[in-house]
Amino acid sequence: MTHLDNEQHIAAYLLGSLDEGERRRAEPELIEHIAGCDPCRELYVALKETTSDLALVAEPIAMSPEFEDRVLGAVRAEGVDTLAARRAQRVPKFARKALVASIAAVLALSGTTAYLYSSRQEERRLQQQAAAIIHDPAAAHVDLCKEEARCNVSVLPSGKGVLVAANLPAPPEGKVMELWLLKEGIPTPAKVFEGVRGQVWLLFEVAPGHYDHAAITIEPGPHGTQRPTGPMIYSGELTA
Amino acid sequence: MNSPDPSRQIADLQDHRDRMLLDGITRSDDDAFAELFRRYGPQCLGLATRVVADRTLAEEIVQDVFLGVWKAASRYDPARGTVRGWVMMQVHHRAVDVVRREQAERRRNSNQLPPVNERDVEDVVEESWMAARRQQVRAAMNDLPEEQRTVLELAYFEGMTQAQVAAHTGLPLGTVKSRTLAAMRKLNQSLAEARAT
Repeated sequence: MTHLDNEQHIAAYLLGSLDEGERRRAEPELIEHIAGCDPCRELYVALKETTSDLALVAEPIAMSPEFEDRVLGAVRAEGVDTLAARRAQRVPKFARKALVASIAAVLALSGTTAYLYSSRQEERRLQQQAAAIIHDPAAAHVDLCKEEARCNVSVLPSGKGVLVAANLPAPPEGKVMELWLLKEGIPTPAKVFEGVRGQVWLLFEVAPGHYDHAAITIEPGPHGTQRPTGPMIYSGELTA
Repeated sequence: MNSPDPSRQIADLQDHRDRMLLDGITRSDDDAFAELFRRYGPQCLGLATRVVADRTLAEEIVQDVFLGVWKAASRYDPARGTVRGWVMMQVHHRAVDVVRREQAERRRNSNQLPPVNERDVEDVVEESWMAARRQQVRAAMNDLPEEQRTVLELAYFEGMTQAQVAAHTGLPLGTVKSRTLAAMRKLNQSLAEARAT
């Protein structure tokens, strides 16, 4: 296929206007082409958003109470995605101690964090502050671990918090990771950092408040952004 | 540094909220599900009805898609777009499948299109950002040259393959392909400009 063929296929693919056979043939070629062609990758991302907007041309239709009840009733009667539920379930109160202990264990092992701090004494002082936050009964915690990566966030109502992480993948060149705390969906930037090979703990401070979620996104480096713009790689609910 | 784009920021925040709702759904939070369903259900129903031209069938499609969201919210991959786009795409694909199986085609021929009554449209409660975005998209569609708008509407809203669009319009297949790409590019550009103003 020529480059133009690929561009035309991207548009048709996103619109759903390839027939089943065409789609099966085009898909692997498109994936391969997009992976190695920056303009086509940009075109794909742009047209995907455009296709999503195209749905808005259709007039929305009010859902009848009967229809709403039927769907909500069916959902309550259905099982859930048990794998996801297992992975993302709330931390039960009895498990809180174990979570705190596990974060503290990572903290205690984080001897490889010296690159951040000018002296061993300074490192020790900051480590004590981190431990105090983690063990504070008022702290809310979230476990953002995924696959090999370990990532725990603890935050106090005062806004002081700590991120304890290990084996986070490095962001793409020119990008950084940014930690956000969210309250009712509104994100507050908390910390910008790069990939973590060993174990690291990072103190941060945001405006006081009861944040309900934490998330990490990939953002332009070196300073990150004030509003999330990049893909969210970790997110979870903060539980007291 | 570019000045921040307010509508983009609002859309980002909405998507953040949507992701939080999906997060809740993975933990069987039916309130989170209800919020997501009420937020996008009317638009999904409108889209499905527009494609299959049958309200009952459209409700079945929307119900199936949202049940799928409930059972497998963890399949959503943030790297592949917004939650809204993910849900709408599923509705569109299902609706197009139905059309192509010709189940709706018969209804289409016999019913023609009275499925949307004014009361249904007036009763829709939606967030202002979505209504504003709809206006932008419709304006951008209206700005397309008619021949481009036609191929886009036949492909997306009538569920036609490109070969079917060619047969329907009498255009060569190559022309359909080039017009479709040109239409999508122009639409994308117009929407980007609308966001920047």
